[in-house]
Amino acid sequence: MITDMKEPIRRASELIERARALAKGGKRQRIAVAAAQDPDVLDALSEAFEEGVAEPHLFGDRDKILAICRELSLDASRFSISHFSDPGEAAREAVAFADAGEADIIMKGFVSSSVIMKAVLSKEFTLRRSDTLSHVAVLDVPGYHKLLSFTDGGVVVRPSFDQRVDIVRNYLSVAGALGIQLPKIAILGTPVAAALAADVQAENSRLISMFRTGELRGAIVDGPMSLDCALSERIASRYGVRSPVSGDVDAILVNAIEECNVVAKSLIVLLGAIFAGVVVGARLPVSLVSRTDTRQNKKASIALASLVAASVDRAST
Amino acid sequence: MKTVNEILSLLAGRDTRDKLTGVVFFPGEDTVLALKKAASLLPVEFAIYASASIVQEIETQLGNACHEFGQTKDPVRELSQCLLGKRSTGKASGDFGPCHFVVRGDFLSLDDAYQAISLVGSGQDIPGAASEVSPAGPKPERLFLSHVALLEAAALARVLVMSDGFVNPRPDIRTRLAIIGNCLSVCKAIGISAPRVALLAAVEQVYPGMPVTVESAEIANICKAGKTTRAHVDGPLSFDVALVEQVAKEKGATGEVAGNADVLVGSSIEVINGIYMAQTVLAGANAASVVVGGKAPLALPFPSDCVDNIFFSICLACLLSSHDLPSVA
Repeated sequence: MITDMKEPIRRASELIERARALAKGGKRQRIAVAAAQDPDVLDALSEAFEEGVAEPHLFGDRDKILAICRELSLDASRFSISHFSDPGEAAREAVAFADAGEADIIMKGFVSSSVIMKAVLSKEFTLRRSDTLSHVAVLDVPGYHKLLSFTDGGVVVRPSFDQRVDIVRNYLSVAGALGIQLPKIAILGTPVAAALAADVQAENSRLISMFRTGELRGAIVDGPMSLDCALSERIASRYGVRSPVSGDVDAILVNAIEECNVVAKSLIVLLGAIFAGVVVGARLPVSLVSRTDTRQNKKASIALASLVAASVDRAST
Repeated sequence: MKTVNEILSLLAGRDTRDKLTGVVFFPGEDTVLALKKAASLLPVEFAIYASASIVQEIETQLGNACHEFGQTKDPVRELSQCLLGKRSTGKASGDFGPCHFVVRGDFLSLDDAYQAISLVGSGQDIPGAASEVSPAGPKPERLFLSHVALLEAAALARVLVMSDGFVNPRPDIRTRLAIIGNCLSVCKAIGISAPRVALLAAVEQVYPGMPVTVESAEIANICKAGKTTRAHVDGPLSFDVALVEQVAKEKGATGEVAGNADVLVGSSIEVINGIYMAQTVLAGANAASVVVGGKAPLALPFPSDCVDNIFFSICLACLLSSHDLPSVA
C-alpha cells in the first residue's frame, strides 16, 4: 500500500513504504558510503538497492569489500567502488563526493562517527549548515499511536542552550520529512521541578518562550515533564500538568546524551520498538547503522535518511 | 527474580509474629484498593492520614486493619518524622507501636514527598519540629536516601533493580556509590545474592568528553578495588550491552555484568524515571517504587502507577522494613 504523501507517517512500515514510493517516482537516493568494508552496512545497502530505495557508491578498501560481498553472497556488481585503503581518507572522499552533488546521503561504514562528523563540518566543504550536528532516533513503539522521536542520544553530549536550539531545528527537518506539520515536542524532565538544576530550568523556560512568542517557529514545545506526562494526557492531569503536548508528543527533547540514548534503547530492547536513526544539521543527512541493529532497523534507518534527503532536495529547489 | 509478584512469596516466608504497621499519607481511590489487597494478603495494618470521613470509609473496606491519624496540615514534617523513625503510629496514647513503613497515597504530592526526603537526607532540622530537636542538642542524624524501582522486564524474563528515578538528581561519584549501596540492600532482600550492577551510559568506551563514561569507569574501579560484597559493578555500559548477552558479545563487552545486569544505575533521575515510565505506561509492566535509606522505607508509587504497582510498592516496602538498610553518609 502506498501511503498518502501528505499524511504524516505514523508507523515504521509506512516509513519504508514511503521511501520505496519516492524511489519509484524517480527519487532513488544516492548514498556515499564512507569506509564501506563493513558487513552490516553492505548487507543493508544491498537490500536497499534491491528494493529500489538507494543507489550506493562505496568508498573504501576494494579487496575487503569484495571479500565481504563473497562471504555474504552479495552481488558486488551492483556497487560502484572507489578504492581507499585508509578509512579516514575514504570518509573524506565520500564526504567530498557528496559535497560535489554526487550523493544525497552520507553513510558511515567501518570508521568512527567522529571522523565523519569532522569531515562533514569541515570548512573545506559546503555541507555545514549550522554548528551542530545532532542525532534523531525515530521509534515505532508498540502501545503508542504514532512515531516517537528522541533527540539527541548520539552526538551532542551535554548541549548548551544554542546547541539545544539547533537540535530542535534539526529535528524539525526530520519532522518535515515525516510529513508532520507542527510537531509537538516535550522537554524531558523529572517528576518534581525541584529536582531540576536552576540553569537547566531557566534554559527550558527560555526555549519554550521562544516558541510561544514566535521567535522560533514550526513546533509546539513544552515541559519539562516526566515521560509519563508526555505520553498520556490522563496521567499528566494527575500531576496537575496541563500541556498542549501531553498525550500526543511527536518528539522528546532530552538534556543529556545518556538520558536520550538509554531511554530510547530501553524501548527498543524491552518493547521491541522499531528504530530508525539519522544525523541531521548538515546540508545532507548522515546515516549510521550499527552492528547490533536488526535488519528491519537498518532498513528503516536508510528509508528515513532517504526521506530526509528528498525533503532537503525539495526545500532547496 | 522473574516477576515482581515473587515479593509476595518472600513475604510469606518471613517470620511474622507481629503485624507490620504502615503509615499512609492521603490515600485516594487507587491507593485504597491497593491497601485493601495488602490487608487481605499480608500481615499488615495501617495508620492513615486523611479526613475522618475518608478514614471511616476506608475502615469499612479494610476492617480493623486501619487506624485513623486524622488530617495533618504539615505532611512534609510528618513524613520526615516517619522517615527518621521518630514517629510512632499511635495516637496520643501511643497505642499502635512503631512505624515499619510508609506509603505515599494519591493525594500526597510528589513535591511534598521530595521535600521531606530532601530534608531527611540533608540532616537539617525538620521545620516545625524545633520543640523536639533542641538547638543545643545533637544534630539530627543524616541518612542517605535513594529511590529504587523494581521493573519486570518481560522481554528478558527477569526483574531489574533500577536507581535512582526520584531522589538524587545528578549523582556524583560518591552519591552513586551510596546509591549502589542501597541497591545492594534491596537485592539482598529480594534474594539476589551476587548482584551484577551496570553503570549506564550512552556507550561502553571511556571518552574524556563524556563525563558520565569517565565517572562510571572510576566507580567501577573503586568497587573492584575495595570489594567487600559479592556484587560485580561495571561501567560504562550502554543499555543494550548491559542487558542483552548477544549484544554484549557482538560488541566485545566482557566481564560478569555485560549482558546479564541485575541492577541499572543511572547518571540522572531522567534516565531511570524515563525507563520506568516508558515500560509502565506503554507496556503496563509490573513494577514497584520505593525510597530506601530512611529508618522506614517509603512506598512511593507515581501518579501514573496502576493499582497493582501501588500494591507491589507497598509489598516491597514491607519486605524492606525487615532488612537493615545502610545509612551511608
